[in-house]
Amino acid sequence: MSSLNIVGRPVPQIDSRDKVLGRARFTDDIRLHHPLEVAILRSPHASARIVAVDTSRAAALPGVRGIVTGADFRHTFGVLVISKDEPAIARERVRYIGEPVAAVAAETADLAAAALALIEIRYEVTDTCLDPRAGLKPVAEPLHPGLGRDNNLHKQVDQHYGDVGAGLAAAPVVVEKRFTFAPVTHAFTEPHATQVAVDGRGNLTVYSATQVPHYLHMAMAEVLEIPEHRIRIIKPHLGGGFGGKSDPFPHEMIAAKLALVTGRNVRVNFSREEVFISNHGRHPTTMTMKLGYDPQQGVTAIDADIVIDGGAYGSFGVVTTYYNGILLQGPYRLDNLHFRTRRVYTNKPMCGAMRGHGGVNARFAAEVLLDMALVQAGVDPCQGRIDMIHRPNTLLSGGFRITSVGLKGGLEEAMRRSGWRDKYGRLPYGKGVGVACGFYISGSAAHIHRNNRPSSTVRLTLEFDGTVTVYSGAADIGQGIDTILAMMAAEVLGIGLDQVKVVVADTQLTPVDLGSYSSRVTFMAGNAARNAAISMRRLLVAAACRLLELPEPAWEKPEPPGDFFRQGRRRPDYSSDYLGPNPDYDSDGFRLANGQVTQVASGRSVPFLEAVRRALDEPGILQTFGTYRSPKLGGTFKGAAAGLSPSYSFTAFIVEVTVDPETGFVKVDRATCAHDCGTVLNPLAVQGQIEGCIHMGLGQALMEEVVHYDGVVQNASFLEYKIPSAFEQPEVVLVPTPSDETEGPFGAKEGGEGPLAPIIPAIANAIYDAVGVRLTEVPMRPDRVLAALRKAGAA
Amino acid sequence: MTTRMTGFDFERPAGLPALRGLLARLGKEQRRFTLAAGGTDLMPQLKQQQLATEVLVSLNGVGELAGIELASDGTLRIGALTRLAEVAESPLVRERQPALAAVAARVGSPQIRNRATLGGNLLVNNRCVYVNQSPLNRTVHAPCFKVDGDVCHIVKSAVRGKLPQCQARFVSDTAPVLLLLDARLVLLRGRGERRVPLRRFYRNDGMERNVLKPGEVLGWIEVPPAGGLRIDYDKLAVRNALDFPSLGVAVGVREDERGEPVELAVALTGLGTHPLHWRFALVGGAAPAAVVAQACARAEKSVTTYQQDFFPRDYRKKMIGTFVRRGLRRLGRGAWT
Ligand SMILES: Cc1cc2nc3c(=O)[nH]c(=O)nc-3n(C[C@H](O)[C@H](O)[C@H](O)COP(=O)(O)OP(=O)(O)OC[C@H]3O[C@@H](n4cnc5c(N)ncnc54)[C@H](O)[C@@H]3O)c2cc1C
Repeated sequence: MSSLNIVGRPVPQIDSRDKVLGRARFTDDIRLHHPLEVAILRSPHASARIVAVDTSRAAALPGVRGIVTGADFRHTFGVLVISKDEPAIARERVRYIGEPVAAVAAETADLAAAALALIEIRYEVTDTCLDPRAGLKPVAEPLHPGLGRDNNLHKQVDQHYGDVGAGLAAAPVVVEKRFTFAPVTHAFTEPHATQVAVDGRGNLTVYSATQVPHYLHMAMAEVLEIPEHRIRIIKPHLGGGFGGKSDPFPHEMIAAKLALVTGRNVRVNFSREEVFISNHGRHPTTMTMKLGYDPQQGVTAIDADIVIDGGAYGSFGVVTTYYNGILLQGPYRLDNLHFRTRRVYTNKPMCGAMRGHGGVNARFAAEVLLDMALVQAGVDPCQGRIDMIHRPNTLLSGGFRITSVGLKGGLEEAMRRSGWRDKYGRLPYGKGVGVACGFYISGSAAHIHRNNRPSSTVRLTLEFDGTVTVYSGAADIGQGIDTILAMMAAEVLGIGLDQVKVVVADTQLTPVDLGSYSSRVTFMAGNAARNAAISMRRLLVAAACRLLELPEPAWEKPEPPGDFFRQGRRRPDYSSDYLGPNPDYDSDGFRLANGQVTQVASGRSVPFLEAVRRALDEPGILQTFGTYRSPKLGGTFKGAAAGLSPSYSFTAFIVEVTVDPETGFVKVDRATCAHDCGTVLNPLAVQGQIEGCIHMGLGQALMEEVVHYDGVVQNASFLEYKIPSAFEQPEVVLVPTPSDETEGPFGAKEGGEGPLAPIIPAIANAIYDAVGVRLTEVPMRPDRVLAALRKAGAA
Repeated sequence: MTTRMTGFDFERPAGLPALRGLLARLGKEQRRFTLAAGGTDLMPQLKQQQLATEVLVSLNGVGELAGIELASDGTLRIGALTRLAEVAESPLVRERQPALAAVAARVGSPQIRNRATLGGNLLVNNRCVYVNQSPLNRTVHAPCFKVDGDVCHIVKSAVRGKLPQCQARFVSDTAPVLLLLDARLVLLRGRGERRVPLRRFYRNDGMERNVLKPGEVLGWIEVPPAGGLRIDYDKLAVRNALDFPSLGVAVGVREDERGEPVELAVALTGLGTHPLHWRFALVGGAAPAAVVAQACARAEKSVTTYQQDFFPRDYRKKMIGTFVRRGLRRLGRGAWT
């Protein structure tokens, strides 16, 4: 393997200049020909039957071109095949305040708003269920009677690994606490927006701020009852998602329907309040967790009972239900695990996937309990954790296949860089340090929609002028996958980033990628791009051989990886397009660099462009494909697929805080992060992701909370929903945490979500070190810290 | 759907005479108008339809009302239209009234202070979780007095017209400091003007908030020399930027020529319907620590708080004493706490 050109260098995102200069076009910047403006009427009731809908007065208003109601949609939808329970517009009943009940397309936004005021809807208010605990008891009218239950339980997962009873009984230290977590939401910058262009043949081009163009494509066809080939989804530049745009949404269905009904282009665009009431944020959670610890063996058992408040519809909730328990299997050895998670429907905006999906709250509980246990056992909280971290290449009892783990070295380095040994337990009252770790998936191994197609496919073309174009359905939502795709091609082909263009997230032009969720994109689309580029590289090397009159190298398929990968009882299933472990694609004796294709041994070379043109001679076009599909993993029991990933990232945080014992204010002074994302493909991008995780974690830890009052969101604005300002962001120290990952693109793993979860318990543990109290309610608001201090003082 | 402001005319008179003429005309035509300075408080209310008006009158063309002057008696005469950023950075204010410069820098964010005016800050609308909401949100609970409804959701027994009818809380950051400084307001009406001490300006109500009469314009804020009074202001807010005070406490200690403390003064914002302030003599043998304790007890007892804010009401109340003591420590009087 020759040295790398671009991978590992700090490269600005390829679109950052356009974004900074305001040139990048986001969905709402697109100017369609005379679009109609769409306004959505929303329910003022949390729970009610819709008795009558009268749109006649609105329809009579000059300038109103189309009105849709629940009667216009027969099918419900949802991102998961197993919970397609959401209507585009409520029919018969409404389930949360803000649910769409009708929508208008009119010549101007003011007219559309005026028309909404003329729509008359008669409701019959019914009992609301706002508290998930109440929803677990029998209720008069379940939110979703179709489930056949007498309560509002949506999904229950109850899983056992090993023997929890024995694990707890054998543990010298057992700790238990009850934790509560407030609802938090993504708070991305760009509000939801969709524009739909319709052509004379009734074909729709849908521009939408979405993380999942492919799922939107399929859901829209189903909801509109038109063939998929009539729909083209394009994701323009996107201003943040964090999971808040990873479902198909009602407004997307509404806009498309109105375009079909009116035959006109339409445009819909959310206010900040509409973003808040569409939510899909992190589930409010209560959990009781028990943890056994033995200094000799580490964590002997975890037993958790978890209730998550799902809101009105399913969204990703079934996955969240699993993740809350299943992701306790790392980053430490744990043979005995039992959890029961119950997701309950309530009359509130739905919850779904949010950065660190499902793993964040349970991680907090586990890390706080572990800290208590380590303190009780007299074991250093860092060292105690280091001793329990998974070893590389292990198979967990739940079936997770752990490949690379760099966390041990990373946390050791973080201890040195943060001055842990001088600080832990030694700082003056009010100052403290705390540690916590976590791990996260690099994409889900299993598909949401069962099929045998790859998770990601990339098409690559090379033109006679040397332009390389990467075509990918991957959705850049700010995380920078466009840049990663370009880097993959540039690295393999030995050319500059400027020579690579990307055509992305357009279902008419780009092959399918499943979307930006579960931290899958760099790993999966990155691998697909790399593989496509390797195939292209072979075409060029072959052409060079012809020009140099050399025999073509014999490209052998590399040996399948060693025994370890067979531990999953089934053989790994590498497709024919699997091009071998990273990164020895250039073991063929050729080197592409500096505008030349060179045979290394002889030093003979041809210019890159000449090789391109020679390669074009016969086919007239240079086009290759690359795919990624996960090896088949895991067991066969029900729910075995949850949390399976071809690779996992690992993170540790050491944070230093100042707690003001008079006011209870917590200030995070410094965060030292060791994040094992395998090879750091682009240090700038990884740094951005980690800083973002810290900022978001800080918000959830200390201040963020969606406040509902009688079912209405009371703080649906950035003034009242408190996101930390730049003042609150701590000094950040990033510690190199290399690991030996063989399956990620150039050895990379995820870096966008994993670092979120551990920062929150690290803050809690640092508060304990500073002032000696354990916070179990998140956010750890000043008044809660103060109350805990008073309680401790009184005791 | 993004909210837009519609349904009013816009006027921007150039200069004081033009403003006077315009207001006279609007009065005669009996048109409902609203004055706008920086607009940072007004715009969200207009967008959210908490407020309706027929004519929006921008004061930003009235140059006479912007700027800071020093009168011969040492009084600072600050035009109501002076931006908070200018108040914060003015060498004159920093030298003469450092506490005022400091508090001006604590309002909102840099962007807001570049636009927001000192006059607008003294007149900033009271806030309530039931009022500062969108139209959709307000339809969930019946509209309250402050948005032309007939109920108060905070105090259910409140009666329209009987003060306090509305518990929307007072949130100006600068008011407590200006109260302790004995500031006076110059109010312009027709061709005349009147002076009102700030301490007589506010009323105990979230709707009828002050004694400004319809059509009256706040012209200047006059701040007499501090006379040995040193003031510390601090606010309880979740973040170090953007947030309104959940509680704001100004603490002042007046010293005589020999540096002996003669008076302790405390003013609060963010809790009730209007700012509160007290003065306590330190002469005559009273031990300062006892006076401080008395002041804190008095303040905690006098305010009524409601669950209207990010922080629970009890916590906000508890923080009064804490903030007073911390202010005194910063003023070098930690021994009293
Ligand atoms: C995000 C955000 C954060 C904020 N944070 C704070 C904060 O931390 N602390 C704080 O105190 N405020 C805060 N505010 C409120 C507001 O920005 C300030 O109070 C500001 O000083 C208001 O001044 P203005 O010139 O913009 O007032 P405007 O909005 O122009 O006017 C406010 C009111 O005063 C009246 N008015 C203004 N000038 C005159 C005059 N000369 N004569 C008669 N009537 C007049 C207007 O009619 C209106 O009723 C915040 C606002 C926002 C949007």
